[in-house]
Amino acid sequence: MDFIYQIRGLKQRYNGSPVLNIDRLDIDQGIITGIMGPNGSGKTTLLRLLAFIDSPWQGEVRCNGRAATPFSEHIRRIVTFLPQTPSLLLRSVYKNISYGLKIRGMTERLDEQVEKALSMVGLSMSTFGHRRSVALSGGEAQRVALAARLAIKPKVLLLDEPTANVDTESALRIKQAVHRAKARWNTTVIVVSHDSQWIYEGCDRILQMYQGRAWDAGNKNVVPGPWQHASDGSWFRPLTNGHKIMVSPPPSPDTTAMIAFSLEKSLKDGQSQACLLDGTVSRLILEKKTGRIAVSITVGDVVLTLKTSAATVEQESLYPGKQITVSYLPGHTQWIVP
Amino acid sequence: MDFIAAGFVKAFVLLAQGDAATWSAILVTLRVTMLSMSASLVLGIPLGFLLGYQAFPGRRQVRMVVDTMLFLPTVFVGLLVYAFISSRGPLGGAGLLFTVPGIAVGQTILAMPIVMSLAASATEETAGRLRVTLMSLGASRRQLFLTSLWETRQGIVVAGLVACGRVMTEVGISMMVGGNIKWHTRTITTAIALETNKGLFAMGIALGMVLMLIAFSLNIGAMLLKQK
Repeated sequence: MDFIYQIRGLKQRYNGSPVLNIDRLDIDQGIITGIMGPNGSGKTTLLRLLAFIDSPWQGEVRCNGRAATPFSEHIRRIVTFLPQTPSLLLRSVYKNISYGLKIRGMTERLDEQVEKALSMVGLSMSTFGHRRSVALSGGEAQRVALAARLAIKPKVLLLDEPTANVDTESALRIKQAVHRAKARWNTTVIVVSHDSQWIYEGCDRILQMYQGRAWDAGNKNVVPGPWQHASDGSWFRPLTNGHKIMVSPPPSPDTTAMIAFSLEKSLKDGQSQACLLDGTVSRLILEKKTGRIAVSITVGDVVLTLKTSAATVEQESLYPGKQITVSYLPGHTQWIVP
Repeated sequence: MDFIAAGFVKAFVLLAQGDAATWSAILVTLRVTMLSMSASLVLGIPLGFLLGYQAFPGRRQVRMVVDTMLFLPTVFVGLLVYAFISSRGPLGGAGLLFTVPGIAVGQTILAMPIVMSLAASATEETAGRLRVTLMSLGASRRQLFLTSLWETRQGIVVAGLVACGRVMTEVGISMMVGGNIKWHTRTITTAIALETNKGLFAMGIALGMVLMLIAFSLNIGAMLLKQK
């Protein structure tokens, strides 16, 4: 499979502070990639760099096999980005959607193209075509903004929290439209969302971001500090349920750890024995692409997500509310150093 | 109270009968406003747009100077322009003192910072908001510039209206640079000031009503423009 994006040594700073640091990341063409992570983890920064809205502080983003910068001719017409709060032009819905088509010279059967784009997001031309953008509700405006991007049949569609500020119906229409775009034009979609249901069910690949780093989501979970130093020399973080997460010595007490958790209780390696934590299953989501189940488990004040097979879920009779034990190897802690 | 009511009645009579002195002040005001606003808009809109759109070293400092000039007292502008165009001033040879173009020069100095500042603010807001949208839809640098300019039109109309209001209602520059010469440089506001000093309220009220009528017409025009 070809890579649509190849990221090498990408770093971004705002006001001198590092906000993104991705050494290497490749994104396949024609798939939907979901990006999850807490606020401030660099998701929007990454999308803006992939959309070539901003230039990176260091590093390179190659798109379609070529390096590019903002306004690069070869990416200007294939990549499009929908920000979390999109701005529409002070014109009618029709003119907003036809804008991208006109600047590409795609003016043949313009009405038909605009109508198709509107119908993809569940809006009718007769009702909305001549409505001014200022007369739209938040959800309608978001759908019109998406329709404007879909009208140009993009090769890459970048979406930043497209369903965050809209009602259930608009959210559903937006999700359907995104999947249709992929099916019709083999559009590569990269979507940032806190809607984990959508991300797990609708995405071919899931990336996790934290403090400007990105990695493929799996059983590794982010556990922020502060870490405490015990009298016996060990390091741990107390949880509100009385348990402790034991770790190898951190670079500093506030460093965030990345720890792989498992549902197996007999994890072992040469140096350390698995530590066990008691938690409660809070959610199960099917990852459609792989058929695996993402199990969210609340352990004290920390929510962990582990992926497991449907067979394990059945065998262990996992369901929300069930008490469960998870394990991890304290000697295998990775540290996210800013 | 009677003299005010009588003033209004007489004002209607003056306007209806086409009183020459009243209409002269109105026409001088319209001429001087047209000249000063044309210059302010032609110079102020591009400069204000660039100030709001383009990042360049010293932009904040320029913006601060322009914003400070919003507070220019009209008598101070009148004084400066008078000094420059009087026979002893560096531009004395141009023969602008006590002329309509002379007043227009002063009013341009008054109006241009208003146009620039408000156009810059409108551009900053609109262009900042639309930059991502337009770039995402594939706009080139030129298309981004032109579309941003067009999308700022409402803010620019407001800037023009505010500046026009300031120009039409100022007294200091018209009085000092124009000299309030009847039939020549007497504007609506200088006429109102003079007639009120003389205790003749009718003409003052008539002229005030005309000013309000002009302001109303301008607003209707601006409203129609906004709807486009």
